[in-house]
Amino acid sequence: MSITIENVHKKFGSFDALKNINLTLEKGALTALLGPSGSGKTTLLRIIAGLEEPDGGSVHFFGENITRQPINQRKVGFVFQHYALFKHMTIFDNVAFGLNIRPRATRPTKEIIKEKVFKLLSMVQLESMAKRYPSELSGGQKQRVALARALAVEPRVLLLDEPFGALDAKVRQELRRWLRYLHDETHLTSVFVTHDQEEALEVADQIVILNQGAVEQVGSPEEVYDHPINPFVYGFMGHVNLYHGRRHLEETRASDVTSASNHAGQTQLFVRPHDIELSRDNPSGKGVAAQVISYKALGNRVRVGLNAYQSNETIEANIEKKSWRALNLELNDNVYFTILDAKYYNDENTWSDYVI
Amino acid sequence: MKIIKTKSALPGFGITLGLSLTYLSLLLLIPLAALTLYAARLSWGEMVHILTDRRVLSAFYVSFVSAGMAALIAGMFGLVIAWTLTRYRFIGQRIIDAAIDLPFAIPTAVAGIALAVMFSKNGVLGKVLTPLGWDIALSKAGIVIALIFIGFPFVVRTLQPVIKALDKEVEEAAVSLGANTRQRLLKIIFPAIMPAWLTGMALAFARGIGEYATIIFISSNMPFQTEIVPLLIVKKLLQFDYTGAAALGTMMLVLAFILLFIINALQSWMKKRESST
Repeated sequence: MSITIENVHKKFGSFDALKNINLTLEKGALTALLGPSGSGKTTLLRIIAGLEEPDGGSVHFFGENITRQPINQRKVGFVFQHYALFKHMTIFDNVAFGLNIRPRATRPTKEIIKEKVFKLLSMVQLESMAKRYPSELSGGQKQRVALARALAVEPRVLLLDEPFGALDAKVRQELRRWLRYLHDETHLTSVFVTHDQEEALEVADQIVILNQGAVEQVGSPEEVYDHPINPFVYGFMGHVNLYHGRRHLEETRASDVTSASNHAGQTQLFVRPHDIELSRDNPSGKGVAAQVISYKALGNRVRVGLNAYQSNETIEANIEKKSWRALNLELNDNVYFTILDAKYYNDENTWSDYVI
Repeated sequence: MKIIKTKSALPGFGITLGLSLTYLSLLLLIPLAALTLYAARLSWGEMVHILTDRRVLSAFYVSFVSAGMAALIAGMFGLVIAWTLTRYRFIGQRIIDAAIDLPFAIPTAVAGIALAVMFSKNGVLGKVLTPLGWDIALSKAGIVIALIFIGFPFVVRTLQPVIKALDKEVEEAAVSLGANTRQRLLKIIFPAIMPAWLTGMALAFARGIGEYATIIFISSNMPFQTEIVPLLIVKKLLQFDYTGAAALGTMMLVLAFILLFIINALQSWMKKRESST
């Protein structure tokens, strides 16, 4: 119960950036605010930090109402997407800034500051860079400096706004793991904003999914991935095929549901590309006949575009390269696909597993 | 030529470089060389004698002190104006922004006459100030005011792009680390705009040393009091003392090169800092 957000709303002109957000973030957890651009995730983070004032509602840190408290008294560490380092200061001075500007009464001595800065720099593996200037560092190093700088003031809460957004894929991967490691060491209550669901799934303890200024779902990575609360969350957490089928549970053979001729009780099925299996000869008899219309190798997996003959729907399958090789398929070849797992969203606004 | 030319897909290097060098030679190098050569007719002793003349020294003193004071005051005003024009949005902003360039655009003699009229005994401001004992026109203060007028656009125009490019997130980062407004100004904004500010003031200073037309109208042009170097050069020319004028001119040239060197050093410092994103 470290950060509580009650009825927070915010408008920019006539645009509702946030509509009545209620949220509780666990103490010591690493929470991801996940959503597409324009979902209000950054605005929410900036309101928590105090960089933006909400039009209404309140923000509490550890039970204390801090809605009207200015940011420089909140004791938050904030990490920006584009690092926001002080260009005219050395790395050492950047990290020491928050301590150096304290009023004399609460400022640590020079020796203590030095010791503390070097401890933080060694934690981010940049001890040797202390005398350099930010312009001499790579993007990943700059972001580590920014993190060390934020941690130097011993914040109550660490907030990160798309911290890996400006970095290239490999550095991004490294920093993600490193952030997770860092969090496991410090257990500082942390919130980070991202639009990358993979990043949220990999790093966070808790994921808050935002869409159009409202919270769609809050839960652990497993919960939001395996039990998405609505079609938006399902679609946002991974690739999805929309496939039309009949909902009669007693007639659940996939081959039946594809008969588009029967419109009665037809429903939309949500199928992940990796829950589709391909075969040349349909041994189980459950397969649906389709044509290969495209394929593209992506690392160790292959993305295959299929067109179902009967319903004329396009389906995307994502299979292992090994099985793709074994199938030995070419463009326009005939193939059978079998749906291993599917869900549908029924009239009562709840999900049901589609029994294959 | 081959050595300094790096390959470019766009044609025209030869002819443009040729034109640039011709321009530089005809309009800059040859006249300046002629001036220096003319002054070189003098022996070292004569040169030192001319330059250490009391009247000459006092002219250099007046020129440098008034240009220096004007650069500092223009620096203060220029900073405030540049800040207001870049950081805020208000009605009439574009008109004020355009008006900054007026001192560049109007003939300096016109500006000098306008200032002289304004500060003369019967002028709009002179009427108020003269009875208080502030005789601006005809005094050193008049020279400084004229040079502020000439110099402040340099400060504004060099500062504006730098203030505009200040990263809002950097300031937010400072505040999130606990900085108050004073600390944000002194430790974040000020160091960031410092090189540009110094460059602007150096430009205003360099312009002020060479300024002639504006000053001769507002100043009393009295030797040992309000006589500036450019005016002394003109007076020497009028008295057919060509070598003396050339000696002063060469000295001014040397000083101008030194200033140019300082300004360039400041600008490269600025660029080096800007390159770091």
